Amino acid sequence: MTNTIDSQSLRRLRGSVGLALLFAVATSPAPASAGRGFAREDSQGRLDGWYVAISIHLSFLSDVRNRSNVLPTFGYAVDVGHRWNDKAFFVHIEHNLWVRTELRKGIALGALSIAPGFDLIYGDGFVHTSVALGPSILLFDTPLDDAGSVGAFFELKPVGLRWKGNDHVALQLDPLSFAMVAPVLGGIPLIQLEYRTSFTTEVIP
Amino acid sequence: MKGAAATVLALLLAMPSSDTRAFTISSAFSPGCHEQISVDAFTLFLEQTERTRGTESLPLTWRRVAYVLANRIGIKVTSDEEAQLLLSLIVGVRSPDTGGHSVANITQLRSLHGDLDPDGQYLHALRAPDDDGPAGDASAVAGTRRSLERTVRRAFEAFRLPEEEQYGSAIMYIDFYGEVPVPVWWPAYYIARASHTLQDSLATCFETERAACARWLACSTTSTPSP
Repeated sequence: MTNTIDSQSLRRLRGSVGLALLFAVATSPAPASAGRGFAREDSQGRLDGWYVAISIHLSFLSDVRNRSNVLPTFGYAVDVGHRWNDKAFFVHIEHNLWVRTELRKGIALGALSIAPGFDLIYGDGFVHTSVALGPSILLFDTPLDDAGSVGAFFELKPVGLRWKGNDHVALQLDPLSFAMVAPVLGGIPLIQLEYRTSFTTEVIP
Repeated sequence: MKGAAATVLALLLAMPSSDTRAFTISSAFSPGCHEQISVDAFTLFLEQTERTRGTESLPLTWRRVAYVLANRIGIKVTSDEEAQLLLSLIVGVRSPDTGGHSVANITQLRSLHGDLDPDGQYLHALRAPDDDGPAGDASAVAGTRRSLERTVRRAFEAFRLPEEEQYGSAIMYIDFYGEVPVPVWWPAYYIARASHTLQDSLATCFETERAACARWLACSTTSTPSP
């Protein structure tokens, strides 16, 4: 089987995770505050409560061996979560669409992923790191597999930037995140490794 | 001086360019000429040939892939034998252009098509780096002929092997899955690989034959159904 995540990619992934954790630890103030002057904040700048985030993402290049250098994907997502000041748990629901490059042109419906995740805000509310892990569902028939096949999804946003949009809206830019969308794990696996750029609008009611 | 240079540049840009004709393989960026020509031959072969050889039964996955390809091309496959033939032809005819890699794997494509080894160029009926002038014409034609003969010989050698050794797997890139080993029948795979060279030679060498190949040449410049 040639279609596997090679050791070089795994080493890079481990390196990214380590770097993100190091950065998070090094920059996390104590006690941290997620506040940037939002209406929901209390007098200490603590931001507690529910939120909804809508995001779009795009990835273009790949360095995975035995893959194309150009693997365009894009998509959108909705996160529903609860924040306890600088920490949040959320459920991430995303639709990731894939652009064909082989045999014919077009856009494939890709995969739907539903992943619980954890988010941490630090750096005076300017920076965040998040991770999500859950199932991924194939949305179209491929030559090898039927729609509905269920595999795994993982996303790590090592360092993203946050700004206050208005009293109820935070804007977030994740210049480079890593996602593994793998709706087929058995037989010949279908595993998309994506280096994404995401833009998120978070509504804090 | 600047004005003169700008004028020369404008004239160069305005000069009409001639068509460069070549057969393409099927991708998001190009129609599937090589595949179409090979499948046309495949269809004729199925119609005109009494086939007596058996075939290894295809795993369900690959039968499915063959049926999907056949459906996209607009032909019917009715047995494992035909399905395996179709897979072998598609994988084989694409192999000189892709080497089994993605058509968008820029690094691999560059190394494959910028191959300085003369045989790498003769595989596409092209001149080798040193094939200049009239002597280069003869050298390129002779090299292309050698390339064809070598590949056809490999097909016949594979055909003479015991039946179980006539089957193997070759790498093909499938969208989103990456490079996967596809089961092939070696004689058909090598015939398809040789036909790629033959098709390229028609597109690049034999000007006077073009009328006879109008349909296929049209395929090289217009969109056609691709697998």
